[in-house]
Amino acid sequence: MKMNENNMTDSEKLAMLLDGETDGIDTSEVLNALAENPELQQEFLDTMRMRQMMSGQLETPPDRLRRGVLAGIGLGGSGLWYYLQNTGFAAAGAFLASKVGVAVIAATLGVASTLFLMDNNDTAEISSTQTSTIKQYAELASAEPIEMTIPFVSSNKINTNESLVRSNSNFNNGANNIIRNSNAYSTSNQVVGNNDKSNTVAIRNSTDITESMLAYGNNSDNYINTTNNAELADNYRQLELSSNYDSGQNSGFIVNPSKRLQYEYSSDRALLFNLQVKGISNSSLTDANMSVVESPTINNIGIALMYSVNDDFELGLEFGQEFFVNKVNISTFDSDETMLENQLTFWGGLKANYTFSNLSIITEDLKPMTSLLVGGTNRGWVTKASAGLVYDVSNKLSMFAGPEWTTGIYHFNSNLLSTHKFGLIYGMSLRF
Amino acid sequence: MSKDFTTISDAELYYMLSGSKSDSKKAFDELYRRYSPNIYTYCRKVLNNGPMADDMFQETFTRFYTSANKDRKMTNVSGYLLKIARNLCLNEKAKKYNDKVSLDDLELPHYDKSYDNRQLNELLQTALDALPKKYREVIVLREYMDMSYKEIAEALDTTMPIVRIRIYRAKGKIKELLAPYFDEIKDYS
Repeated sequence: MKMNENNMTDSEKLAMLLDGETDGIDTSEVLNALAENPELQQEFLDTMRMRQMMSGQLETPPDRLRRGVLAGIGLGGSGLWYYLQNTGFAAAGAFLASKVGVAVIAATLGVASTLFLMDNNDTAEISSTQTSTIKQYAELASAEPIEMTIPFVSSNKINTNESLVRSNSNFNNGANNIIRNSNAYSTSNQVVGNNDKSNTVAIRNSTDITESMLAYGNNSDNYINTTNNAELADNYRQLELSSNYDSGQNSGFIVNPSKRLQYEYSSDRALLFNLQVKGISNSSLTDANMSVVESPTINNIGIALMYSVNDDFELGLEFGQEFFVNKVNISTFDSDETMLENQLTFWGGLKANYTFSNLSIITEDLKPMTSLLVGGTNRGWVTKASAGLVYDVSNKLSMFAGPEWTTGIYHFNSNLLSTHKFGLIYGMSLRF
Repeated sequence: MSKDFTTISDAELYYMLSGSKSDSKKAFDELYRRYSPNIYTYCRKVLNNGPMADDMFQETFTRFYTSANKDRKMTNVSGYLLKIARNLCLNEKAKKYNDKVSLDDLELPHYDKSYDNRQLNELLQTALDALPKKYREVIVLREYMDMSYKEIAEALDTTMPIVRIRIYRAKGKIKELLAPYFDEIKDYS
């Protein structure tokens, strides 16, 4: 649509030209008028100055507005959840968000927690399995040794694994055999071997031996329940029989006290890892001028995978997210202002836990602990220090709580600034 | 292989808004990248109220996305966004303020000769605020958003001659207000 040139003044035509609207305008006529008319020249200059003032004034909206819009229309979310959904973990995020995913997670947690909460004591079961037998040997071997002189009367020679069954049989045939008849052993304190060499055996006393034997069945003819020579040989090997036996000499069935079995059966020792889930209830020591509009579902949490270096010290990685008050520059039309914004921050780092096992409080299951985390955030660096109490519900489950101090460090206008939070942490730890 | 959303047309992106969540998110991000500065600037210049402008800006994109699920065809996304923003801003403005400030009563602040960007912005915004909203709006669309007369006419549902006249008068009023300062700021670039 062309505008009617006839109704326009030179000033209007000039304004249109300067706006790039040339339809219906005779450019040469306008330029001629401009050259001849001083008022038009002044108008031209003023217009150009005004355009200079307005040029390049497009403002970029702050990112918090975009996040707010995305959260509002259901495309965003934020923080960890947002990260999962918008990175390579999109599929995992979608699965976790689905009802099926929730059901699977709930079922898994239920089964896992049931298993974890069961206190798996090493209660000996009356069984003839090889495992039980080894346990009993361990009890034997861990007893304080009493050195005894033991005559060997058997003439059978034990040289190879293949001969073990036969040899064992010979042992079993002998009177007062330590393997076969614990009662006989407990009364005579003799081991009948295959030669006259004197040997030693590690036992606490005859009563202990008897009890140990009773635990897996007294007078059993085959309490070492092996099905082949190899298994039998393995039993003997675990018993750390004396080197004389291994070398084929007729040293008899003797346990060398210096090599007695050191097998560890405590289930705690096998639980080298633990998964910690904690809630964070803290607040900034500074009040923010601006609060974010979003309210993420997953927030103020931490998840850690820890490795037990020893009974007291654990080292691992922890991740979580919470709000931190940061300074931000807000460009308004009137001015550039510095504001404090409460920003959602994803953090992670190396965490060290120390439990003071020797300082039990009230009960031996309640102990003081402390932890330190050093790591980074999506805005800078973070350190977290906490102290508190840990309570061992079982050998696999612990609860903990205590105060925590958090310091976040971030760049602002080429300066390093810090922001601090203080509050409470609480959570549980599952060992596996 | 993932799509390059920067090369997809506005109409196609708009159509994708009602598709799968993944595509919808990427399409929205791209449209937001393209038009958020324009809409944000419009809201701020027209309202001259930071928090209110932020609200209207967010509401604009929220309504825009919601509308995509109702009507999947859109030929002029930028114009549509502007129309939403305009309706929201003008309604909000009408609720909060009287339409205009009397130009005669307007007193522009006095500044030293050394102007910086911030002072110039304040000066300009004060002058803009003094304009009736129909003039203020066309100036923002023309000078800040660099829209042609035709685009402005479409966005405002009016004709090009009306747009031309409004722009001309608006500039005349601004120049009149800023005339005392033009000599001092002539070195500004």
